[in-house]
Amino acid sequence: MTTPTDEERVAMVMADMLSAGAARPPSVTPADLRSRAQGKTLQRVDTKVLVALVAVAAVIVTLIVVGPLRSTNPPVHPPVATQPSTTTTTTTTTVLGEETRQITYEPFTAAGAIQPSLRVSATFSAQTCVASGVAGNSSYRCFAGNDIYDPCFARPGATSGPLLCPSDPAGDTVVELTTSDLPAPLQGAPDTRPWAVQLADGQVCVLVNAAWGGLGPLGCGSTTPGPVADCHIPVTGSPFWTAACQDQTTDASPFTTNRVDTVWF
Amino acid sequence: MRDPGAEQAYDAFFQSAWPRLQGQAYVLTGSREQAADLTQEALLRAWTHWDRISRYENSEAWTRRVLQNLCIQSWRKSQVRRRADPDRTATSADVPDDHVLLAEAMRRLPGDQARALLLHDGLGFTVAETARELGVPDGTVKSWLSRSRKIVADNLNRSIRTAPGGGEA
Repeated sequence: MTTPTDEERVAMVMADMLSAGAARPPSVTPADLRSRAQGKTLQRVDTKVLVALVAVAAVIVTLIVVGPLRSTNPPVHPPVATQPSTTTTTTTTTVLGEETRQITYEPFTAAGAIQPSLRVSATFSAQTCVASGVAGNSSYRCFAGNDIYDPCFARPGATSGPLLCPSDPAGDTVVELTTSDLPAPLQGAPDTRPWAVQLADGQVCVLVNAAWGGLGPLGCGSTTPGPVADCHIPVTGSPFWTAACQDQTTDASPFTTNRVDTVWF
Repeated sequence: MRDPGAEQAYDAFFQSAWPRLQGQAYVLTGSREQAADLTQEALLRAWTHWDRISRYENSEAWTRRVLQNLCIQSWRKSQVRRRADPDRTATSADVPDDHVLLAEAMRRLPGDQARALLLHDGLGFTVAETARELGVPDGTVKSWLSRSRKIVADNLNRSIRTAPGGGEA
């Protein structure tokens, strides 16, 4: 008796699951779905009217309180402005509010210590880490218990942990993961890529390592509340980068252009 | 209001595609209930765009892509929920262990790699067909398959460490 190869084993279980999933009869009829689609269309029209009214009201309030054109007020969510510069290495020396800040997220000091401004909120043992993190080939995607941590950063050139995983680069907390086996960085991937942005209203959006069809890949709102659900990769611009964002992660939700105050690489 | 011919064509598409789509959703989620919900949502969107996608050579490919994206989106949502409530578990009692392990491993993969593995190892697509569907070179698919298959196989080969009763599975 031969042991199945990895490919055979995966294919066998997958075939079993495809079959088991397919065996369950549909829980709705096509007519049900057509009816629901019609209801959604009507609801969407109502929502559009509501959104338009809210937008008009917001513009009026902004003009009254702040004045026209670009606001000189600080962002609603200020950690970027107050975050100690030792947490990260900035590649620009711009003043907040004048143009988009570009920051290279570096949770370790050059000597390999955790940046003193960061606080470790929890420490776990990682089961696996793969070298395909959202922040380029120097970052990792790690699994600890039922949780996925991505991105996680190791010390430069490290072959083992600890790794530091921020959920919000504008914040000062990270989760620390220990691991004795760190794979080599992924070859061929870009060294760095924008993996998080902070929009003008303070909302932070983080790249989700997943496939999206016309949506994302930056997911918003899991760390800082705000009106935006997801954004496309930001587009460079001067003085400000911009990102096309949606209020809802559905195909029907229109994209609007948002000013980006900070980009993390 | 669409014409009756469009409704008939959609009904036939629905009946034909539902089992295959629900099977794929089950592979990606490991939950029969969630698979049914997401299949419904994908087919609802198919009807919403039926004027356009009914003209495609392969309407199911469009719906499959929507479904896979919905499944992967559901990972992100469950990830956020787990962070909010780390004690929460999502294992269904009626799901066999190896199904749980496979779905769990799929969630660990980056979305495109999970899709590649499902298309190639699950649905029997060739490397070239998988590459075309995902819009990447053949070599990338081969690399993804090799890496992701190892992660999934490793997860399948390990036993469930703690059975619901506390013993070894």
